[in-house]
Amino acid sequence: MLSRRDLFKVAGVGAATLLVAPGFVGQSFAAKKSLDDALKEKLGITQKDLQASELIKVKAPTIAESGANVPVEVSAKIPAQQVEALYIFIDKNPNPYVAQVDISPANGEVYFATRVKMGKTSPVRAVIKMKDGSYLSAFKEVKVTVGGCG
Amino acid sequence: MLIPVLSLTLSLAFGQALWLSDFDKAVDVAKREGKNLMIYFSSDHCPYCWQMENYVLVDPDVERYISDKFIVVSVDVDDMPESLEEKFNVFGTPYIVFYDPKRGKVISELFGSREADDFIAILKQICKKSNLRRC
Repeated sequence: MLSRRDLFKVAGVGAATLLVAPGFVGQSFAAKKSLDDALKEKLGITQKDLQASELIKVKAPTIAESGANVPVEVSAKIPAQQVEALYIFIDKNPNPYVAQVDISPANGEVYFATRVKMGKTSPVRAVIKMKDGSYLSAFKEVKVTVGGCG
Repeated sequence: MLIPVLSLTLSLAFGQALWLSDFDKAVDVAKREGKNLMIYFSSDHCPYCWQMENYVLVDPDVERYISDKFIVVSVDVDDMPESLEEKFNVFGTPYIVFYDPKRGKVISELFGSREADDFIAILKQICKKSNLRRC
């Protein structure tokens, strides 16, 4: 049976862990990444490898009232069987990588909609990895307004 | 007693800003450390507070500057002592009051969210307006 003394020891270790943890959490959040860092980490490429494409459409508000919940819709007039995956990046977020969607012919079309969090005004970028190894990209600049609640 | 001391030690060890919730205690700490107070009034239901907390106040440059120059008091306006509400006339969130604890005077106030770069520029201006020597 757990004695009163043992209980306090366990509680003490738990409290110490909780106090130490915020320091580590803070540090991991504090590591900012550039778009190139994120592209390299996720796809092994840089912005130079991205080919601008008018076949991709990124739909998002030009002005977002708050960055907490920004709707983003990506579609592409490219046959799904030619596409391997679709990625979304927010260029100026502390961690630009947002999502990866694997595309198969069963999808029928290249389409994905979601809601993203944005730290500040930034391009919202869609990157499509083609089966031939090339990368197509398009973006929409979304302004995140500053403001307050009254 | 042990937990606040340990918390303070860890905050300093990690180079993080010291965040407190008790205004009077924060005034004492700020006086002792020769820093000004940054009183951050926020609300759980305000998306602009969310923006500040998740992207601006945790920005490494902002955090470093705040940690160096200010003691932060975080106040939830939905659970705030009346004395603070009256003293600082809190009318919305995020609302940030910069306070000189030695003179007992407000240095500056800021309403609404800002982007990290703009916020650092504001902090530098406030530092220059205050009685601190190095900004």
